[in-house]
Amino acid sequence: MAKTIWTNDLKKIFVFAFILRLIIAPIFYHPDIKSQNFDFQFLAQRKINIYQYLENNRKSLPNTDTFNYLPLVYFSFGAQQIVLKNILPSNFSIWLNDWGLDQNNYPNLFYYLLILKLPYIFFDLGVGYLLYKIYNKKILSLWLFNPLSLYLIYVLANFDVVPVFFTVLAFYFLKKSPASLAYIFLGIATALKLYPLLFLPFFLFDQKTNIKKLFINILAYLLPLVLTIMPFIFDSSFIKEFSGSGLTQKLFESRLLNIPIYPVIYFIVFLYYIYSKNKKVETAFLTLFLTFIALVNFHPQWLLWFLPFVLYPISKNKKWLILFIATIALALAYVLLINDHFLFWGHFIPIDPFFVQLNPPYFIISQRLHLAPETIQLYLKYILAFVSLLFLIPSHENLS
Amino acid sequence: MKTYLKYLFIELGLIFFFVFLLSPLFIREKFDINREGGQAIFNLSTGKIFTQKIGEEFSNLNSLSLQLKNPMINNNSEITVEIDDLNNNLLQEFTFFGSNVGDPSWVKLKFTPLSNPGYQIKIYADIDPRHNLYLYVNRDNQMDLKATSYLPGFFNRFQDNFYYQIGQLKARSEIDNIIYFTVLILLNLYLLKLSLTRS
Repeated sequence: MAKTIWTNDLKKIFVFAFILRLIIAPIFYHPDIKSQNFDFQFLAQRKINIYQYLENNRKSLPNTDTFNYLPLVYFSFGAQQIVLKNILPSNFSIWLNDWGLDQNNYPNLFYYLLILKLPYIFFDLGVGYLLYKIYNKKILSLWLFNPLSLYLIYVLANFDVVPVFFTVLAFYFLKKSPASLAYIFLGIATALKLYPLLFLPFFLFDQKTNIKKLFINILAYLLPLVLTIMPFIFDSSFIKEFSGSGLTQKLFESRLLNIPIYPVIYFIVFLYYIYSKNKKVETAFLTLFLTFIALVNFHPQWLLWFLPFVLYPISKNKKWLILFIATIALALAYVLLINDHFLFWGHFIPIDPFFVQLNPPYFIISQRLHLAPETIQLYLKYILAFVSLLFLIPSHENLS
Repeated sequence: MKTYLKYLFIELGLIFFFVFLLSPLFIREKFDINREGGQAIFNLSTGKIFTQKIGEEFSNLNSLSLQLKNPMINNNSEITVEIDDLNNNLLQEFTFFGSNVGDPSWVKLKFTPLSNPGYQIKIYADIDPRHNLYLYVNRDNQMDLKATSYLPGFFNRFQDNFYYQIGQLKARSEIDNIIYFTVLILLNLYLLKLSLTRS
């Protein structure tokens, strides 16, 4: 594990990364950040049960989206909005509640986006710092300056970077004692988004363990989740709103002979991991990541979940790096073919609101070229599955 | 110094590309009218003609979008949209079928740019007593309409966008502008200092 010596080079990396983020964050938009902050505003109005409040008032609200996130998301980001409101320009509340024709014509949209994304910048730099501590400067630079993470964090601007930070922090503590802290942080990440549950079995068996240790670690992991969910667990509106989030369904979607493929592959990777002498969590996660892209109808921001963990193995192997870049290019091509204005031109609304009127690739392919984008997406998935298989071909380069 | 210039080049390059170059490269029209909020109340299948005057002077009018509703996509009659000048001279005519109209949907009509002091838009359809077909119109008898005009020439668009971005900057919160640019400048000065210091 690297000791932090704040050399000139390291300072330059962080300062330049910070400047880049200050430039990028305000010029890209995706409606998710507005939609989520629309719901977070109700904490300031002392609405504790957001699920019930939305269910009872949906018809009278200007935005009718469901809030399918966990309670900790509402409380932490609601509190964050209360703090940030002091530095947000005027008309922020008006913009947040404006879902009409003029919703994109706010000159201060630039600063709303910058300020709402400021916490993402700190968590993102935090992930970079942890990766530096766990690995080295090369992985730090790979994280901070790769276009994929910049796109996922600042263009799509979902809050996934926050649970990602906690999973990397958990990984940091897993490699360092006391390991039980790792499970608490992984639990916090899970209390924000459920996906770190996929990582838990690998964390639990990373080192030699016994039943007592296993029990304590699972308890430490469950603590944040149980504490934050408990008050809502029997609330029908929570169950109804939360069941709208699709990870579990999507993991089970791809089937062969009616058997869900992803869980089977996950189980095989896990067994291989348990019985391998030289355990490499990162390689296991890379395999899971590749099968995830190939088999699951993922939301683009989900790609961020695995990214910090796969950087190390791909940086060690040139062939893997090339294959990884190809995989990401195919995955992004898949994303661009989704029928959503806001996944292409709509991102540039802060520069000019007219961008949303331009035809997205989906429209051009279906209307001008008379091809079905969904069919192209299906072919892309096949190619992705094939490229993922290429990772299995043994290479002379070893992971150190 | 050389390292710092590399950083500065990337920063300025990003700003130039996204803020100043992207829009004139891809946006070749602008809204003259962007009006919605009407109701599906004008029934075209009765054979009535809906007429709308656009009084303002448009240079390079190049598209019109109307909002129509074809309930359950049942109506497949021929729909005609005429664009006339104020003396009723036909400038453009479009015909399409009900099957091209959603429940509801915007129908965009593109044409070579027109430059007239004003226009009359006429919309009518074949009579079909079995299935309704509606045009979205508000209480003031104004239809939902998006009209765009073509912006010719890259350099003109670049210039327009440049002034637009300056206007947007001025319209933003002054205190936030000051803080934002001060922070960027201070961080750059620090980066310059780090670049000049040997590690």
